[in-house]
Amino acid sequence: MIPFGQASLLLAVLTAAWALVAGALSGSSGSDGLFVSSRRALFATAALLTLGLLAVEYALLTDQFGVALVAQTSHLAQPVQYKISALWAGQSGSLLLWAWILSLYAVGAALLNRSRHRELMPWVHSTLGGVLLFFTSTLAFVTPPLALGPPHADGAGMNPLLQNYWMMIHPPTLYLGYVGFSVPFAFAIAALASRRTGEVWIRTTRRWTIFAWLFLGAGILLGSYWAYIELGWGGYWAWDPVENASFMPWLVGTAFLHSVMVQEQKRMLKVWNVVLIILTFSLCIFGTFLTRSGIISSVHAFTGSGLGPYFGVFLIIVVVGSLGLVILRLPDLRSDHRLDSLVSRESSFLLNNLILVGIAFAVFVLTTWPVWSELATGKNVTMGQPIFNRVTLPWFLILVLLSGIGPLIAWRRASLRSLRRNFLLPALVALAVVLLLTAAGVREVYPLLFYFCSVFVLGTISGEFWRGARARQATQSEGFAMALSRLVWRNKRRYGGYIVHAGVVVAVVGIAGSSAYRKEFTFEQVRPGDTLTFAGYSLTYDRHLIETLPEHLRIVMEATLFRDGHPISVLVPERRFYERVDNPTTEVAIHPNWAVSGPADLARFGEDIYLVPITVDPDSGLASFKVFVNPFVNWLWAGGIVLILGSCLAVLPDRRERQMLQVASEEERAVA
Amino acid sequence: MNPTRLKFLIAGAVIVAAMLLLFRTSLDQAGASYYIPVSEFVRNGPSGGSNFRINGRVLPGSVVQPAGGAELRFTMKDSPTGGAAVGPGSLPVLYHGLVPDTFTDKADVVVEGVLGPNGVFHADVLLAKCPSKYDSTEGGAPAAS
Repeated sequence: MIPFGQASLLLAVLTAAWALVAGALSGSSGSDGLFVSSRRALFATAALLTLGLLAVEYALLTDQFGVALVAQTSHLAQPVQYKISALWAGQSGSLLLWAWILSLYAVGAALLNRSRHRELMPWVHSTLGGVLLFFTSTLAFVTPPLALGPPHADGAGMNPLLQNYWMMIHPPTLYLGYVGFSVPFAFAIAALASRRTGEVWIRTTRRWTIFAWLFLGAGILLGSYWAYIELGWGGYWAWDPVENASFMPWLVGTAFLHSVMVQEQKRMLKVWNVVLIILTFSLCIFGTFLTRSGIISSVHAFTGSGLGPYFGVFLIIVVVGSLGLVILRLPDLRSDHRLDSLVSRESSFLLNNLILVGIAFAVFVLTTWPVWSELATGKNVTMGQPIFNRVTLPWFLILVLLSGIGPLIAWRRASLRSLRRNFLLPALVALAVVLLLTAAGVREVYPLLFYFCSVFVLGTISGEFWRGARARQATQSEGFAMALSRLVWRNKRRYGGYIVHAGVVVAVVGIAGSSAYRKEFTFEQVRPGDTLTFAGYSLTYDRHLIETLPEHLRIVMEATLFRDGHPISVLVPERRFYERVDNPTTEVAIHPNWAVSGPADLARFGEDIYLVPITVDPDSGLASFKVFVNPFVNWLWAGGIVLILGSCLAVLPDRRERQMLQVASEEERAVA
Repeated sequence: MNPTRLKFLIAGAVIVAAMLLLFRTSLDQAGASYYIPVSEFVRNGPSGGSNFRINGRVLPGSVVQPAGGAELRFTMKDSPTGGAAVGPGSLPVLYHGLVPDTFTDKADVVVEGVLGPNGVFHADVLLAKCPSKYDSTEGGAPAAS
């Protein structure tokens, strides 16, 4: 099975290379034979990578510890699900997963468009073949996942911190996002190469882009959630290089999702759109590069893998090659219209784009600051979290505000009357909420501004749903609920987008609240029977238990949480001591509070009591604890779920969008 | 160039300028830190700033953590990994707070903080990397606080 898998991965290099060459030849000559051949080459690459992946999984499941990857990430007694996920716990295996997902995307894009866009598709095959060629050759020649290592009796095992369900699904989710942007990127390159730079490539890849964006966002959220429940420092985001690596393409991808609408509606921003998708894709590759190159020291990154230079060269080829193509095609990318007014939807989208790209740029500069400072002064200076927050926060605030304003102002030029109708009521409600909060004693500027924007945006969005449903009711005899659901179903893209905005706003409330009002308490020399009090709660440390399990020994602490003298929950944190790992691991205990007993308690809705044991003496139970009270943090997770649901709605097939694509396609053919 | 486009270029320039300004004003406050190995810090002392990020390896056997407390003391030396030459010198560190699960008495660590008057480094951030057990995954971020 192992030589078989190695052979498959080697052959995949050849098929990917043929997809690149045949696609480009067919694109420039129009040859049908080569076109079919390039498509088949993509299918073959996917089949070969699947075989390679199965071979690695086979090696993992059958405990072939001669293989270095298996020896490093698995061991004899590892539960089956973690033997499977051990594939992406190692460097080479995670690259194999990347390449495999890419090949599946390539097959999907080629199959779904096999009888459409005959001028674009050869170049799409070629571009995807080129990206696949890079990954397959890395797998074949630089980090072969099936390479044999020093003999190992029963494997080192996966780090216990990674043996967590969220960590199992986080990397594949994130990769589905990272890799997914290859499809719109390939279509953009194809549009440039074939000089078909209208809206066809954009309308064709609309759902692919939303799909990739959805998974990238979900992957980031899963990663944060995993960090929150597993790493035990009470937070979920630390502006770590690895986190930033996934956040930058998300930001620019978000800009792209918005700006394509301007091209669809107004046939403007053609250059901007291709540049944005090139940038998004490059940032996806850069993110993969950043975590593997070791250029930015991060406690999270892969170390000393020697992959850096290869990724660096590939990245330069991608950026220089695609931007060169853009410059070559500038005459084809001229806008058909120009901006009419500053108060119009297109200008609010442009502003949103400038800010999103600006934030991504700031994050990029701050993340890579150690490199620049080392080059310039010889001193390595790293940027801490406070700087990231200070530089980006005001812009996030404006973005939230824009997400409420942008979708509601008209294309071209908005009238004052419509502005008043749409925005007066939400603004007044938001102002009232802020006044109430100020009266209740909230004085911090940023949270107040964020709450104002959030309420305002939720108000304008609800207004849209309300007015849309009423307008439908006026013409069709339907009940309100029926009108509302039909309205949403018939306009999935628009209302899906509104739901995404609502999700973002709820998440923003969570982020603003949990970062501004987080409280932290340390308790030392705590004996069983002691009671700790903090932030209106009290916690009694009842007892500690020692339990011996096959793989580890654990010390479980039981503590009862009280609110106003009533017990509300039993918190059970743990310290685990593994046989094969030197350091113990900590399992935190979290109690989410959903109980609200009065208006003064509203700020506690969705807060977490987060208990971490720092040390515990196995004999006496003498312990020290850290307690975090994280207000609003559950709003973040709830907002994330709403965001995912909204994107799912927007990604569903839509009859109207299909018709628009048809029209655009015919127009473009007629022009050519 | 039409006037509306010019206005947008100005808007873009204003955004970039405002970001630079925010960045410049934040630099003076805590947040930027010099990232150096133990030997360099010991040789040059705290020069060039007040906040430092120091990387090195825990000296085996130097870890002291009293039961029931939240205090951790250990000594750091240069780490031999990463191809850098191991310089002389060691640094005593005092840390108060959560100890990441990956911290062991031979782990590669990064501490962030200030040098105390008695030559002990007072760390308010402690990050630890597993030495060699596995090459950790990436994506969300494993193996550290």
